[in-house]
Amino acid sequence: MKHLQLLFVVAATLLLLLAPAQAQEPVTITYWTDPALAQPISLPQFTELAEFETWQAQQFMEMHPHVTIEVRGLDWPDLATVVPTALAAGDPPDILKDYLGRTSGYGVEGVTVDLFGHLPQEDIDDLLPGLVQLYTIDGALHAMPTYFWNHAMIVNKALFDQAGLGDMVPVDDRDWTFDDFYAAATAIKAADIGVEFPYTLQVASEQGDYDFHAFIWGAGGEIWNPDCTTGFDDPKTLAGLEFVNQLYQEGLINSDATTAAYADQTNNLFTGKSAIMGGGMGVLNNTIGNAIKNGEVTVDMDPVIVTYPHAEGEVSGLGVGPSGFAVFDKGRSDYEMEWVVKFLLFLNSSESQVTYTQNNSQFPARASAGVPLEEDANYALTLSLIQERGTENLGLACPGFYEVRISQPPHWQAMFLGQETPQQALEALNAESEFILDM
Amino acid sequence: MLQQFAARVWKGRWAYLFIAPAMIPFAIFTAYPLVQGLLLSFYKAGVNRDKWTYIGLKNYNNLLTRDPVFPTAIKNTFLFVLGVVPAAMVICLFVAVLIYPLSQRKQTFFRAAFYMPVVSAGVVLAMVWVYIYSQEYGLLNYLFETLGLLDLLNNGEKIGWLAQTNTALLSLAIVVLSWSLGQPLILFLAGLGAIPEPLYDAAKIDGANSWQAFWKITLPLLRPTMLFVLVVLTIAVFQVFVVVQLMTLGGPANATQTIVYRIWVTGIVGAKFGYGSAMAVILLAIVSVVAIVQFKLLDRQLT
Repeated sequence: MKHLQLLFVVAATLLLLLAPAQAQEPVTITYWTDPALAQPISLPQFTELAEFETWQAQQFMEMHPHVTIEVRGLDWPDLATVVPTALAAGDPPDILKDYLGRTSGYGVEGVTVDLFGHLPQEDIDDLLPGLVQLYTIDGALHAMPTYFWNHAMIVNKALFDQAGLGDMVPVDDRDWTFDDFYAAATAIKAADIGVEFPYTLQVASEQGDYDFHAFIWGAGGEIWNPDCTTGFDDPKTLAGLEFVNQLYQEGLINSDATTAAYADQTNNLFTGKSAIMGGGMGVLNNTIGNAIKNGEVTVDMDPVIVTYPHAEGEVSGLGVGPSGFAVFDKGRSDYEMEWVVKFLLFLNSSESQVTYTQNNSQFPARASAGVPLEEDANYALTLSLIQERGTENLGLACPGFYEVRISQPPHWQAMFLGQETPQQALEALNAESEFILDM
Repeated sequence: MLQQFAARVWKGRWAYLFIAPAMIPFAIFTAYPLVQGLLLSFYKAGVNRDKWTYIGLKNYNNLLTRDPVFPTAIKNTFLFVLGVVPAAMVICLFVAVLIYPLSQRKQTFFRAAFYMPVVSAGVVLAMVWVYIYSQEYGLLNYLFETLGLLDLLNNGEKIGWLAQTNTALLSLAIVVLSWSLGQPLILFLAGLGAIPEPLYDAAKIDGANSWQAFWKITLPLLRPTMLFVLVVLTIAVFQVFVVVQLMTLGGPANATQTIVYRIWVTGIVGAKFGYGSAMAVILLAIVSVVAIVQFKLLDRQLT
C-alpha cells in the first residue's frame, strides 16, 4: 500500500512537471482580416493593410512566445474570393474577421466552429444580446461579433444654409417624410448654388445597396422578411422603389448612378455637386474627416446625420451591420483550439473593441466596452436614433443573402434607364430570388 | 495486349521523353483541372466539401432553363466574338499588308506600337479607357463635343458610353479590339514574309494588278495563318473577362454580362463551384464546336 502511495506521489509530481512543458508546445495560428482598420484615425503609425493587426499579433506573441501568428490582410474584393476558394481547397485560416453578410454564409455551410462550446460564458453574456441572436445559426454561434456599423443619411447642411434652406434639414428630430425630403431636394437643386444632383448614390454594384434599400424600408417594405424569404412582392416595397425611381427620373439623383463608384459618390459630395449621401459614423468621421484634412472638400461642409425619409405613418429605422471573428473548423486538437480561442478573446477583448470603435467610428459588440466616443455628439445621437427608431432587417444572416444581393443592381439599373418599370424590376427579382433560394 | 502497349511506349521512349516537359505541366495544370471541373459540374458544391452532393444534370438544367442571366451572358459573349474577331482580322490584315513593304525600322515601330497593349497591364489599360469613356470628363465626349457630334447624336447631351445599354457592349468591344491587334499583326507579317516573291513577279508579268495579286496570291497563301489567328482569337475573345470586371461589372442592366464573368461571379464569388463549373463546361463545348467549324471550313479551302 505504501509503495502504491509512493508511486502515486511520483506520478503526480511527474505530471506536474510535465504539464507546463506540454503547454509550451508550439502553436501556429493563421489570422486573416478585413481592411476595416487599415488606416486607424488615432494610430497614424499604421498605414498599410494588416499592419495594425500584425502589431496586435506581436503583442500576443510576446506574451506567449510559443505561439506563432501569421496575419494576412485582405481587401474587400479579395475577401469574397480568397476565403471561399481557401475553404474549398481545405486550407482556410484559423480566424477570419469579416462582416456578417459573408461569415453567415460560412456558418450556414457548417464550416465554422460553434463558439458557444468554446467561449467562456461571461464573454458571451458580455455581448449585446441582439448580436448574439444575429450570429446564432442553427443554434450555433458561428462567429464572435466585434462591432457594428450603422447606415443613415448625411446631409451637408452648409449648402442648404448657403441657399437659405437650412430649415428644410430636420436637425431638430432628424426625421423627415418622403414629401419633406422631396421638397428639400427639389429646392436645393433649384437654388442655383451648384448642386446638380441633391442625393448621390450608386447602383453599379451591390456595394451601394443600403443607400437604395433605405427608401424601401422607409416605405415600410422589405428586401428580406424575418423568415428569410424576400419581400420583392410587397406593395410597400414597390412604393419605396417608385419613389427612388421618381427621384432619379427628375434629376434629383446623380445621372451616372448606374456606373458610379463609391469614389464618384464622395466626389459629388466633396465638390458640392450633391448635398446628401448615405453613410454612418464611419463616413462622417473617417471618409469626410480625412477628405477635409486632405483638402479634397472644395465646398463648405457641415455634415449632419439624419434618418432616411419615410412614408407617412412609417418609421425609418437604421441599417446596422456587424463584423465578427469566425473560427474555421480545421480538425485541430483541443490544445490548438485552446490557443485559438485565447487569441480570439485577445483580439476581441473589451479594450480591443474600444480601440477598434474609436478608430473606425463604429459601435462595440461588448457591453463592457461602453460608449467609446461618448464626447462625439454624432456618435451619441446615432446611438439614440438606433434606440428610438430601431434597426432595419438587412437579411445578413439569411441563406442566399449574397446571391440575392448581387442579383439586384442590374434591375435597379434597368429601372433607372427606363427599360423596366419598378413593378417589372420587382417581378423579375422575385422570380430570380426564388430560383436562387431554391438552388 | 499490355505487352504490346509497353513495347510501343518503349519504342517511342525518346519521343515521350522530349514531349514530357510540355506534357507534364499540361497534365497537371490543364487536363486534370479540366476533368475535375467536368466532374464538379455534376455536384452541388459549396465551400464545405463534406456537403458536396451529386445532383446529376441539375446544374445544366438550371442554367439552360431557369437561370435568368446566363442566356444573356451567352448572347453577349457571342456578340463580342462576332464583333471583335472579324474586325480584328480585317484590321490586322489591312495593316500588315500596308506596313509589310516598309523598311525594317518602320515595320518594327508599327509592330511595337500594335503589340504594346498585349504586354501592358490590363488593369492600367482598362482604367485609361474608363477615363476615355467617362460621361463627365471623358476624352471621347470631349472629342464628340468639339466635332459637334454630340448635337447630332444626343441632342448635345454628353453620352454615358458605359452607362447605357445600347452603347456599353460596343464600348467594351472596342477596348477588347484594341488589345487584340498585336499578336495577329505579328503573325500576319510573318505569314506575308513566307510568301515567295517570284509569285508576285510572275503575276506582274502576267499583267495582274496589286488588287488581283492580293486576292489571288496573298490571301490564299495566308490562309493557314488566318486559320490559326481566327481560332486563337476566337478562343481568347470567348473568354472576355477583365474589361467587364474592371469597367462595368456586367452592367448596366446585364448588358455586358459574359460567360466567364458569370463563372467568376457565381462560381468563385458566390462559391457555387459546381454551378460555375457547369457554366465553364458549356463554354468549353461552345468554343470547341466553334473551333471545329472554323477548322472544317478553312481546312476545306486549304486543301
